[in-house]
Amino acid sequence: MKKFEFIEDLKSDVMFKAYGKTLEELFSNAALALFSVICQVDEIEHMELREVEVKGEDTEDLMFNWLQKLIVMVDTDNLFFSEFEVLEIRGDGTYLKARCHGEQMTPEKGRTVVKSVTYYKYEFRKTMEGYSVRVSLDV
Amino acid sequence: MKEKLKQVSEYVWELDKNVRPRMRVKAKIIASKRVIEAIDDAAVEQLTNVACLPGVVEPVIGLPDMHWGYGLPMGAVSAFDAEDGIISAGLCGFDINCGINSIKTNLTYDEVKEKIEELVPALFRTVPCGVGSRGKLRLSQNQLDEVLARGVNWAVENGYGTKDDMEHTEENGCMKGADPSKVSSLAKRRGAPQLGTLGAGNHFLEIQRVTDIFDEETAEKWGITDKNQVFVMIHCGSRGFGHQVATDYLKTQERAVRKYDIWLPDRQLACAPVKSKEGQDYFAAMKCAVNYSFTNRQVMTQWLRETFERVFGRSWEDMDMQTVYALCHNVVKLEEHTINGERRKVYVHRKGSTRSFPDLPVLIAGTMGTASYILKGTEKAMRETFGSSVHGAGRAMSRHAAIKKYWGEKVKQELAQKGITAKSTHPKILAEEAPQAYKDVEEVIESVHGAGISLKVARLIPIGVCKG
Repeated sequence: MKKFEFIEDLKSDVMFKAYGKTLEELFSNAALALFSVICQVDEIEHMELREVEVKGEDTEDLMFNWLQKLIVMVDTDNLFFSEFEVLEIRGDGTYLKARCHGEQMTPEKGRTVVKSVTYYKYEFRKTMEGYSVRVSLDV
Repeated sequence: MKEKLKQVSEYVWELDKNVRPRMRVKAKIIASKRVIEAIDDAAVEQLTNVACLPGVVEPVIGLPDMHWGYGLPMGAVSAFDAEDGIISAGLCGFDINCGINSIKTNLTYDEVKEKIEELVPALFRTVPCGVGSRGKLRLSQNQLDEVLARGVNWAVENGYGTKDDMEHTEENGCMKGADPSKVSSLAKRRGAPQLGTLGAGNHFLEIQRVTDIFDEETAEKWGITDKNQVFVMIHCGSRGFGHQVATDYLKTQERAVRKYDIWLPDRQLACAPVKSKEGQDYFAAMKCAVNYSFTNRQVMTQWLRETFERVFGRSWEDMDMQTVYALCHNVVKLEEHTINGERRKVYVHRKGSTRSFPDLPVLIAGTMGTASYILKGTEKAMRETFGSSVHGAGRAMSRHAAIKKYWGEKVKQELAQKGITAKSTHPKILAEEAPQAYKDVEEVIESVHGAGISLKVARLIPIGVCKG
């Protein structure tokens, strides 16, 4: 199964679709897609670790808040991440706990600033193979 | 939706309010026929969405650089009644007071060309560029609150500019009524270390030379005296601070939409009644982001002056590096306009749009391979577009497509062949921002000049570019 792909829909911004057999895999892959926009994700080593907890009203809201939280952490923690271990997602989608691996940010490994996740064509789906989410980023 | 556009004059196209249900007012696009042909249908449809919002004042306006954006196109203006209209975080967008500063010099192209290979890397080192770069200022909580409330006043008092800079900034560099207590602590945490940073994406610092002067009298008044005179342009915004203010208030206003039972055609047009707490709190917080951004560009203006001093061995005053003008491209303003012969207070939402008030400068950014323009505002803009004009060229190709199509090193070489020295944190940035990935700015300028909503004063082309 593909982890994620970029979709040619937005000229001025970025849209991706992420996939996962499980919810944990989906959340991890969506975060990886996000960071492949922010930085040279293949070059980011695992030198720093952050444990992240996120809350939401449901799974769809939880995904939105998870990605938004990671965007904020680039500014508050000065880190680029490249691996995401989702440790726990509550069945009703109201809580997530994850471990994020990365390194201190440097301009050499940066790509672009993501301003925010948006609701444009935002779509969370349960599929035959698992789950998918379509996300548009304002960059 | 485009097929429903009616041409009413050479540069004006209208959409009646009956083209779809629930539109309260008509929409209007200012553009030449060629520009109209290239505009996305989805962006046109977005104008009709805004025309459905409460208290909207006729018409909702699309400008010739309009392209699809979240909720509303970039390159659009809408005004709402100050009594029964709305204020919208969605309509202002994420990068509050993304804008431009234009700084003149008395240096000639030949003088700067000799030093350009030294100057561009020196600027790149002095002004933190790109995601991953870090700011050099360490602001305390109190200092940040001062910046938010007082804008460029703070910069001037702390040695990052002069009173003259303030007088040449929209709102004199400080929107009154900014209230730091309406800003979340998270926005402040993101903003404090980023003051004095350029950011990334389409933001840039550019050294330019004048190629054409169209209106000599106005140009001279603004200090544009010679072809080949060198200018500097900074294009950036309110960084993580403004992004967080927008994100916070989009959530607040999403709740307000339910609370006040406002019908929205698109969730991203989150808004609140002008007289509500959710509306006014956003307005007070947005002003903080506007002031942050004015200060951000002012601090970088002073650093680039100091860089020129080191490279050319002269004081910046001696090189006459004064601010021509500094202004916003994304903002909400409470202004008074004449509407059907009556003076009315309205909240003007400019998204990817520049204020175009009579005889004041309007600054338009091109791309790193194409021209930028200094225009002047007009009375006609007051009548036709709530005193507004365009902001730039707009993308014609996605970043992803541009990376696949162009190679950063090649873009750099092509720019070099055109006499442009470009430096970025990574070659891919240059591919993403390749000039071919943007629309033709010349066509956009012809439309606003032809329509008379702002008039050409001078054209400038880049000779040195720093990209994030």
